Amino acid sequence: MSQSLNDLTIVATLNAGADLTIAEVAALKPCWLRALDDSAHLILDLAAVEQFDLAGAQLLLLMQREAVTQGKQLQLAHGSGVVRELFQLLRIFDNAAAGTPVPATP
Amino acid sequence: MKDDLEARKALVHEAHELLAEMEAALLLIENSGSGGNGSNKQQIDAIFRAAHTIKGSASLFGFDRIVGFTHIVENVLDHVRGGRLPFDGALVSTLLGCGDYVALLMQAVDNGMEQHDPDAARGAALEKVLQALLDRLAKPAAAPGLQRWHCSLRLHPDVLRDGMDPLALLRHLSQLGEITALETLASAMPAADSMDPETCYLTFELDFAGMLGAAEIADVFEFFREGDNLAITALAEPVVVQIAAVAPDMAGHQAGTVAAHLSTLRQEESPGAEQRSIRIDVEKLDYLIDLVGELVIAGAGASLIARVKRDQVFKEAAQTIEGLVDQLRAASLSLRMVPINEVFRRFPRLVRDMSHTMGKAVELNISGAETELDKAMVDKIIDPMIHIVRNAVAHGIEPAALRARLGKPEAGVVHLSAAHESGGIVIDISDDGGGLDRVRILAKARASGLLKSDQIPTEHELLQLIFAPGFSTAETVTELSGRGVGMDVVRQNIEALHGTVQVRSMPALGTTVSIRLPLTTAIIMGFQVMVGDTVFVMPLDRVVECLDISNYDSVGEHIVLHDVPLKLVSLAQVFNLPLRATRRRNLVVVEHGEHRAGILVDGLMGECQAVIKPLGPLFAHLKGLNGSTILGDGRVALILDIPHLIHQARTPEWRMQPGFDLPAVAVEQ
Repeated sequence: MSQSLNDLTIVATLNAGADLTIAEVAALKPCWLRALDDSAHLILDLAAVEQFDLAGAQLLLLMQREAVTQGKQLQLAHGSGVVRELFQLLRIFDNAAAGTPVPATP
Repeated sequence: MKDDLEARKALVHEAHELLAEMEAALLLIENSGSGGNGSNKQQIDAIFRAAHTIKGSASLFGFDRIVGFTHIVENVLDHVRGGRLPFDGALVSTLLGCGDYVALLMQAVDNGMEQHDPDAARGAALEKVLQALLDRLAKPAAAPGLQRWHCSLRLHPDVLRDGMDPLALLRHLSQLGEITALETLASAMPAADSMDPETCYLTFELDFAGMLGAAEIADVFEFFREGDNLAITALAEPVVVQIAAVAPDMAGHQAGTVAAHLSTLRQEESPGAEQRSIRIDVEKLDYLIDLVGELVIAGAGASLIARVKRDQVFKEAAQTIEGLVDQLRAASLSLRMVPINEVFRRFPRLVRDMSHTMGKAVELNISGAETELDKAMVDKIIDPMIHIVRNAVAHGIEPAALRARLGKPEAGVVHLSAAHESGGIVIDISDDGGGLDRVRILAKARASGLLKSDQIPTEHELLQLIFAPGFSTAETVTELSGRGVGMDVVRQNIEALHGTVQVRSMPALGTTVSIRLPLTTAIIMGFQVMVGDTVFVMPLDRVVECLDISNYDSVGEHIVLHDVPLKLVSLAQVFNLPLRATRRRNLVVVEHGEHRAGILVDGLMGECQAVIKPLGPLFAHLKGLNGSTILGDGRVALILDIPHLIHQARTPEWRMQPGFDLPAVAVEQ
C-alpha cells in the first residue's frame, strides 16, 4: 500500500512496554485498539519488550487481523530477541520485518 | 505468608479428596473383577486424573518429593490407560499403597514438615515396584526409528490464565526432533470487541519428525492434554492415536481444580468452571448460626412489643418477619448437614484390607449414603463405626470353609445403611455372619460378675451385655480387633452424641448394630426444670421419670425407688441457690449408662427445643454445666451436664465453693 499525504494517512508509533504477557494483555488491548482506530498506519515498536508469551503473541495476532479488516497497516518494529525467537517458533509475522528498523516516514 | 498457608491447606484438602476418589475407583476396579482395562475406563481415568492433578498442584508449590513420586505413579497409570499394563490385584494393592504414601506426604505438608520424608523406606519400596513395571514395559518399545507425526492441538481456553506455558511444549518438541511444519491458527478468535486477551483461542497444526514412539509423544504432551484437545496422527502409518479424547466434564474438572488454586493466590475465579459447591470454614458457619439464633430472639422481642402496642400493621409485619426468620434458622442449620457418605466412604478400603488380612471374602454394601447429618457428628461417629465394622468382619463373618459347610455364599456381606427416622438418623451395620454367641455371652457375663449365676436375662438384655465395660468374647486378640477398646467405649461415644446403640442378632443369620443419632448436636430436646427462679434444661433423653415428692417430710441423701436405692442431687445445694420452702418438690430421675440419680428441683416446666450455646470462656471450667440456651421469653437457661452430676452424686462432698454465683446472673444482663 502506498502512502501519500493526499491520503491523509496518519502514521503513529506506539511503544510497547517491557512486559507483553498474560499479566498485561488485558490492559494493553484497549490502548492498542484505540491507537489503531486513531491512525491509518500503526507502528508498534517492540524494542523495549523483555517478556513475551503466547498471550502477547495472540494480542499481536488480533491487532494484525483488525488492521486487515479495517484496511489499515500495522507494522511491527524493532523486535527484540525474545520477540523474534517466539515469532520463529510460532511461525507468525514472517514478513513483518520485526527485526528491521522502521522505514522512514513518508 | 498467610496466603501461602491457606493455599497449602487447599492443596492438602484437595489432595485428600482426590486420594479418596482414587481409592474408591481402585476398589471398584478390584470388585468388578474383570481385569479388562476397557470396562474400567472411567475408573482408570479417575485414578489417573487424581495422580495427575496432585502432581500438578504440588508442582505449583515446588513439593518435589510429591511431584517426583506421583510422576512415576502417573507413568504407570498411563500405561494402564494405554492398555499396555493389565490392572491386576497386585497393581491395585500397589496403587493403594501409593495413595497411602501420598497421603502421608500431604500430611507432612499440612504439618509444615515437607522437608522430611515421613516414611522414606515405604516410598522407596513403592518406587521400586513401580519402576520394575515401567522397566519391563520399556524394553520392547526401545529405540523406535524416525517417526513422523501430525499433531492438532487446540489449547484449553484457560491455559494462559492458569499460568501454563504451552510454548514450553513446542520448545521441548523442537529439541526432541524437528518441527517440520507449524501453523498457528487464530481462526477461533472472536471479533475484537468480545475477544478476551487472557483467553486462549489459538490452535496449532504441526508436523513433527523425531525418534520418538507414541508413548514418548504422549509424555511430551502430558501436561496439556487434560485441558486441551489433542489429536496425534502418525504420518508413516495411517493409524490415529487419540491421546486424549477429553470428555468435556473432565476438562471442566481440571480447569476447576487449577483455578481453585490460583483463586487463592489471585482472588480470581475461572468463569469456565461451574462450581457446584464451595467450602466454608465451620467457624464462619457457626457464627452465622449464632447470629440467626440472636435474630430469633430479637424477632421474638419485636413480636412481643407488637402485641403489647396492639398495632395491627406492626403485628402483621412482625409475623412475616418471624416466619422468615424461622425458615432462615432451618436453612442455616441445614448448612451444617453433610451426606453420611463422608463416613461411609472410608469403609470400602477398611473392609478390603481386613478381608485380605484375615483371608475372608467380604463384600460391602452401602445404602442411604446420601442421608444427611450434622458435620460435627461425622467426625465423631467414624471411630465407633470402624469398631463395629471391624467386629463384624473379624468375629461376625465366618471363615470361608465354615460358610461353605453351612451352605452360605462364600463371600460374607457387611451392609451399611442410613436413613432418617423420626427426627433422627439411624445407621445400621449388619453382617450375614454367625450371629452373637449367646452361650458365650452368658458364660462370660456370669464369669465377670455382670450377671448373677442364677439370673436369667431376657433375649434383649443378654445382647445388650456386649456394651458392658470390659466385655469381649473374642478368643484371640488379633491385629485388627480386640485392642482392648470394647463395645462399651462405642456406646459411650454414641451416648456423648445423645445417641443410642442397640444390637439385634439371629444365630447363623447375622448381627445388626443400630445407631440412632439426633440430626444435630446444636439442638437438643430439653426438659426444663426450675430451682427457685432459675431455669435449668436437661437433655430429655437422659430423663427416665419424674416424681412428685411433696409428701415426703424430709429427703436425705437417697431414697429407695423401685426397690433400688437412688442417690439424690439437690441442684439448690450444688449451685448454692437460696433454699425456699416451696409447697411442691419434684424429683427427676436421670440416667447415664448404668448409673442413675435423682435430681431435686422445685418445679417441672416441660419439654422444649433448646439451641445449645457454649458458655463463655469465663465459665468454661465449670463442672456440671454443658452450656446455655435462650428460652422463648428471652431468659437464659443453663443446660445441665447430667453424666457429671451423676458422677458427682457418688462422691458426696461435692458442691460449688461458697460465694459462687451462677453464670446465669452474669449472662442475663
